Amino acid sequence: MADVFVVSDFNAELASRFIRVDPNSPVLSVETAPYGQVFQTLSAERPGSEAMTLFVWTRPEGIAPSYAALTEGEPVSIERLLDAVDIFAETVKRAAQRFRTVLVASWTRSESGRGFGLLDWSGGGQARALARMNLRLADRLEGHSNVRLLDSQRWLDVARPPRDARYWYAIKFPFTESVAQAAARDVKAAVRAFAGQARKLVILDLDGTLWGGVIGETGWQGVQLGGHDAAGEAYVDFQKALKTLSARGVALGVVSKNTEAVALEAFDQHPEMALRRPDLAGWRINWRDKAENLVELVRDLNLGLQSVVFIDDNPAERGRIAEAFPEVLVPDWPKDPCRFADALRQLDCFDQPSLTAEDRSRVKMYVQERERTESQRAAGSIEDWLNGLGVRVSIDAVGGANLARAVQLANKTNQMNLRTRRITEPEFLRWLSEGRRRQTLAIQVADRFGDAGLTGLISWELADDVLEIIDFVLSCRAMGRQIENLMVHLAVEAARAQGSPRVAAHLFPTSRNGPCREFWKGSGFDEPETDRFIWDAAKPYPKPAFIAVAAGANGAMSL
Amino acid sequence: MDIQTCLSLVYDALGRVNEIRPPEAPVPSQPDVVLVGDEGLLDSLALMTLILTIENLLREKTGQEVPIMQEADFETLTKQFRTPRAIAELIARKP
Repeated sequence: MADVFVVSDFNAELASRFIRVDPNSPVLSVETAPYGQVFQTLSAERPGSEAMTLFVWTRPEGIAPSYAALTEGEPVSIERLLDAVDIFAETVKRAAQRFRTVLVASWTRSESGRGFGLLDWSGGGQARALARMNLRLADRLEGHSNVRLLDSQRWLDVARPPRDARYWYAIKFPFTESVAQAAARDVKAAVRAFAGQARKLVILDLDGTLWGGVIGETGWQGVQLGGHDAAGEAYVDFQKALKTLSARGVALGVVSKNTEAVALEAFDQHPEMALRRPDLAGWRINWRDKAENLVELVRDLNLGLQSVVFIDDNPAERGRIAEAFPEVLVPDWPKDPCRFADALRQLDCFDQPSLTAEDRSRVKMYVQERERTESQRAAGSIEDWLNGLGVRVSIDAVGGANLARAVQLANKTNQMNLRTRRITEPEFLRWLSEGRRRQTLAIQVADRFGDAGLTGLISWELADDVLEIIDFVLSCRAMGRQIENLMVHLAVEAARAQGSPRVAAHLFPTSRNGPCREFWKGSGFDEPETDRFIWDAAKPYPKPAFIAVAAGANGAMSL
Repeated sequence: MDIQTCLSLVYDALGRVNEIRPPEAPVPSQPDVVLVGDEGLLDSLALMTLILTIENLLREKTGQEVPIMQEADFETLTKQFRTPRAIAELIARKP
């Protein structure tokens, strides 16, 4: 069974091949359905499997005969067009029940030309009809957590030329191969996003990257930034693009060879800086090797190198980082600052299938984490520090408002993740509702530095003689405050309350969940076989005394 | 255009076709490698992509449309596009 199933009303095999041969992770196998049979294929009893991504790429005239009639000059009511869209959307939604993820390309014109010219945006115009159809499709697919609409206009924007009729007559493909390649890249980015592989941190250089000039020589007053100057304006726009990214939950950090106090002055003092010091999750500004600084900063933020994008105007520094850390994404970077913002916006590594409140406030949380770490260094002992943190945990059943975040957490967390189970919302709900006695708790963590949000997830199922922990997931933002121990305590208490004699946790090792294994090995559980941990539920598992626990709005369990 | 220039252009187009082939099995840039027909390395989609890419490159190079696939039945096509050398000779014959 292939990873991606491509369905189209035209010959989309070119796109399939670009997806198949792309060596970047994840490498995907692809199956292409016979073209021109979209409705039949999508409606077939079992067109795919729950492990597959379905990619549906169609022409508007291939889905709506009324649109074809419109392009031929017939008067067609908008209602007829929208009815056709509704039928297509319903078919896609039904198919979505059988696939893990469904990606649907928005519609663009498949022919070059001027449509109806001056009348194209009038009542019966093609441009207007197409816009209405796309909006209707987006509306109809909205709210389905495993279905996403891909903006196919982007693929045409980067292709030169996007259309060439020879491709249609030769291979029944309405665009050029560059469009197929761009589509393939977008599909891969979406698959990565659903697999929780989005990048979370952009590490930036300063001189020549965030501003022009050398701040060490001129001070913040002399750097090229803003003003009536093309490059100066471009640097500001690049900073604004970074700030937009930050609002999507991507943290920003700085690694620069400079004097820290001098460089930070620009963030605090320069009137045209779009980025300010609180926008930064962290920084290493000194004269040491950038590779060392980068590793330290990433470690401080509890992230992995595979989460990092490194941006530096200096190709030698980019080469150094790319060579030292193949996991770090080091994009080629334009020389001209006027192209910086576009280069950033073209990166497809930040795509996420959903955006939660936690994502939006992630940068704030990283700042809180920095302050927390500093307080730990200042504390006399780890016990003093934990006691002084004022940790508060709220525990809730998973469902409704917290479902998207809980599933996202399971899919994005690597280090403290018992089984690294990747799952969609429908799959998760289905799993919970299946006959066995299963329960899932969402853990929200706060302390005196701030609210880390929903950062923990534990689920278990009860068999005759064991409570088996299935998901044991904790965001790196909450690690090290004994929330892990509290989660184990909750599982043991549930077992005791329901008369289960044992609690078990089976770790599925990955290249990244070493911290989880380390925790379980030190948890006090027996390990009768490798990576299987057992607790005799006759004994309570101690709750960390310094953590205050409360039940959330969904009324999780008796605490 | 001389044969060598034409051959070089065919190799450039083959490079593009290799982008839709498994990276471990690229079509080598050799004049007599069999592309189509018995033991040919390209299927019909890859062959069409090759032809369209060659036409694109010719347009870039000469500033003119140079169709190389006109009025060819499948048998002729298989002969004309059997190897890079055969394609280069076809291009070189174009006015």
